[in-house]
Amino acid sequence: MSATVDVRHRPTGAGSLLSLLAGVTAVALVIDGAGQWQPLLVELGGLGICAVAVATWDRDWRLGSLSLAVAGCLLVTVGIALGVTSPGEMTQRLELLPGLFGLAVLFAGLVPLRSGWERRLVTAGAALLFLGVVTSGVVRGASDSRLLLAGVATVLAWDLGGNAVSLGNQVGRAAETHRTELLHAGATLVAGAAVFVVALAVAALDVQGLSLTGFAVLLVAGFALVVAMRH
Amino acid sequence: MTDARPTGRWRGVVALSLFAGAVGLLAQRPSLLLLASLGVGYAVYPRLLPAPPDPTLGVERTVTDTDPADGEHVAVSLTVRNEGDRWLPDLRIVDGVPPLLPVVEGTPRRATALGPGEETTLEYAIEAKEGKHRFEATTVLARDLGGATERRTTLHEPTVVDCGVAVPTPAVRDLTRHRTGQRVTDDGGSGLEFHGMREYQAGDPMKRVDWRRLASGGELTTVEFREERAAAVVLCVDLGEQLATGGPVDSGASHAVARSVAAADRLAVALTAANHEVGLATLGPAVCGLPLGVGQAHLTRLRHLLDTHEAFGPATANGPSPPAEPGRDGREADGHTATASATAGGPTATVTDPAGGEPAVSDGGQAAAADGADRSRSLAELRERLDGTTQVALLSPLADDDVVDAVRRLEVAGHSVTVVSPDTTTEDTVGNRLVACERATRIQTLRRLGVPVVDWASGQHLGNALSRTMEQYQ
Repeated sequence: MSATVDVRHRPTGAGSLLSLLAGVTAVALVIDGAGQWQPLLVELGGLGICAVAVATWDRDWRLGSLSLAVAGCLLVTVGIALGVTSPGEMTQRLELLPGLFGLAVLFAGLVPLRSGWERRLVTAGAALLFLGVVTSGVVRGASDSRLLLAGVATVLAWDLGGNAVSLGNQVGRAAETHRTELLHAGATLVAGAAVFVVALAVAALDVQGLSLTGFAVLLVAGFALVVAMRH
Repeated sequence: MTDARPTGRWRGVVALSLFAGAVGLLAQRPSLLLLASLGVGYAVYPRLLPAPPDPTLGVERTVTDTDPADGEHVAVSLTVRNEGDRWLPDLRIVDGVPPLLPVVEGTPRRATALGPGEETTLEYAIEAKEGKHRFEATTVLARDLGGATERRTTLHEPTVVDCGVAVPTPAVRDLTRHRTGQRVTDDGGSGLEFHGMREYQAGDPMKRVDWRRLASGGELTTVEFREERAAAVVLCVDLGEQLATGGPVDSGASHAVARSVAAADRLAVALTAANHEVGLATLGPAVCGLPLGVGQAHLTRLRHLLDTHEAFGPATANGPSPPAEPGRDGREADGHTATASATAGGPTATVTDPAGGEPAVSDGGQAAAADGADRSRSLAELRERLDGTTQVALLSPLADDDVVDAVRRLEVAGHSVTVVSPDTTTEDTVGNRLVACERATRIQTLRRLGVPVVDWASGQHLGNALSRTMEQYQ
């Protein structure tokens, strides 16, 4: 039998790349000092090498790909280790580490490390990214607008990752998908921008004057609106 | 066309809000409450998007060669056009490649966005395998911009790839009807080939009187020629029992049907060319029939039935094989298609019987019983339709003993049966070798009954196999 092109049900390449870019943006937005940038860059280098290994895996160059993958994983580990040691303060570590883990998990979901676990890993990765963003908010690491933008980037990473997984399941990695994926990413980004603007506008109105309880009630009202729209 | 189905992919985003809101309240951080509004915004976002319109799509499929040789690569191009007046931001197209033909180049799938009037063309190549192969419906999933709702549509563009070569000799046994045709009989009468001489009887045509003999000896004799008559043949396709079992995709069984249908097509052409009457029948769960008839119009009708009737479709042979059946958004359960593509290379079944899907060896019981009921019912229907001297050309992989039984009953009822049996057995596993052995035994049994069995090996020229076997019965 001649060689057949099998349909590989893996997350699509373009969507995975966009999702990871959004994830990196989310981490980058909540960190500042050089002590935090260094681990992130090291990890990104490791993930890049792993991506090359994945891309070359199906081209009959198994040994090379395997050694690349091992090197990449080592570099990612080094990056996370640096994330523990490099930042000067505890709070900086706390806001950086979930992001570093989140990126690694997101990448594992999009490779995918294990078939059938793509969506779980993507969600877990995005949740870790969001944990980093929330931690940054708790320790007052980033400004309101950067926090919001990081949140939008997290949602973008989760949405694009999920879309890549679903496209991968339905049409496979080999199919041409970039047109609809770019459109989808653009729409989610525009929605995020709209939410960002509205949220900042609300904040600019007079957040100081509004008590925390009042703000919470506003949020509950928002939920009520969502529930109402659902029915 | 189906209703819009929510994919639920934005549902989890509210959790972000709840988490950020809760932490914000506990840690007394207004900025986190601001972050929580993000989740609310994204939960509302998919609601604000217009639902995906019921897509109005035009589809056109062209293949470079509709009757390729075995193993030849056939380029397929599928064009899908948005004929509606709205944007389709997320369109996932999966072409219905015939289950038995492997895709060797490109991919029959694509996701794209189409504006009004825009079109997209998928190009890929499949490898032709012997038999008549039908393209299934193209599945299209349309999602809205945010992917929150999904519509599923199927587009039908019937295309048949017919792989194989023409057959010069029809499978006909003894003479039957008193209608002039090409079948040379052993009966004397009018014709071309000399048969014998006999005493003149009143009423014999003047031109057949042997005048020379009368002149020399004074005896009045009549020359007899071998009569040439037409036969009436019902082509009966054995569909196996797949509907009854509803088991997993069995490429062997559907391959047998594909090859049987192709053989039926070739035989019908050869029979019509020789002025025989041809009819069509099925043996198995799905019923399709065409009464006896002659001529090109009848042949066209018969071939059209073979090309389009659902009884011969791949759905009969292995149960419907839906492409990319989406379950919940994340876990689209289209492993089915993947299996079909992966095993499309040929009969690689290990547990099921590659020749006809009868699991009689291991767990026969119920399935075989249900099958038996189907078979005897369609056999009874067939016998009702046949009149005294009609012959039957049975196209069957001979995958079970019921077929042998059916042949025996037809023979007893006076119908000459010729069996054309596409061989789909393999030798790769012990089970498959056993299946092949059982099939060989069935062929022996039938031959001992005096039934010609054309054992048509995969890749062999059907015409050669046919003439080699039929020579022994002339």
